[in-house]
Amino acid sequence: MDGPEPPDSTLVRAALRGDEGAFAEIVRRHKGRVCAMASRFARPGDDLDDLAQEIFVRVWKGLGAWRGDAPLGHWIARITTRACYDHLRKRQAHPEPVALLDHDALGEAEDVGKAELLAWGLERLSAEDRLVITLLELEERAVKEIASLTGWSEAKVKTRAHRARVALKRILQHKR
Amino acid sequence: MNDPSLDALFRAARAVPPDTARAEFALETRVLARIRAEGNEDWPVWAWRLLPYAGAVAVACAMWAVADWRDGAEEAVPEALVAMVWEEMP
Repeated sequence: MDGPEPPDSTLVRAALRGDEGAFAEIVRRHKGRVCAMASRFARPGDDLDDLAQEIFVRVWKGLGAWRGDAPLGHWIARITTRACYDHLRKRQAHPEPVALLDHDALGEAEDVGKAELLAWGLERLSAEDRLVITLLELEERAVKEIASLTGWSEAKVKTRAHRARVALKRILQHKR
Repeated sequence: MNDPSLDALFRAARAVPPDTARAEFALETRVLARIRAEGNEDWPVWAWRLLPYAGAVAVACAMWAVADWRDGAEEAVPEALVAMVWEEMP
């Protein structure tokens, strides 16, 4: 693109007038962060692709609601959080078994093995527990930020995070 | 609640960056195609949703038309009778 890149607000105004090129640019700018976050909740491959598409379709439909008082990236992160939560709930209604390689001891597995074991455990948490613990521990977001992303109170985020850790610990102990 | 084994799992998971290259590739193209497809689906969807209301309006119009025709017919019969009787009178 020649010259300085237009700010998000300019692209949003153009997209609201029906300029698909402007919306494509918004997707290009934010897809990295959206896919990185969504990948914590989706299975690799088609599941992640479908979820990423769903998030940006929601962004398109809700674009008129963006007031410009917060950065567009933060507004998109809220939509991403909500979409990931809905995705988890929908998936819990139609669960699929997650394959787990034979990693018996937590302390002995390599990073990939530990990550797989954690994914196996997270898959067995409730949607709320998984959402909050993923944002807190894997995305390393602050409690205040998680409260803003989810629309929950900070107290609820802290309580839910504690319960999620206890539940995850119990699930992994049963695995051992 | 601090648990070293859980913290080790979280650390390990953070150390393995998620592979999003496939999902990111040409995502904007697929998103725009889906938006267009959903836009094209809107008309049949709305038409289907509005079908019961359109049907109710059609039935109401038909009932109103029949009632109106009957009222007109009832009013017309006595006049015809009167005219017929009038003509037969010497």
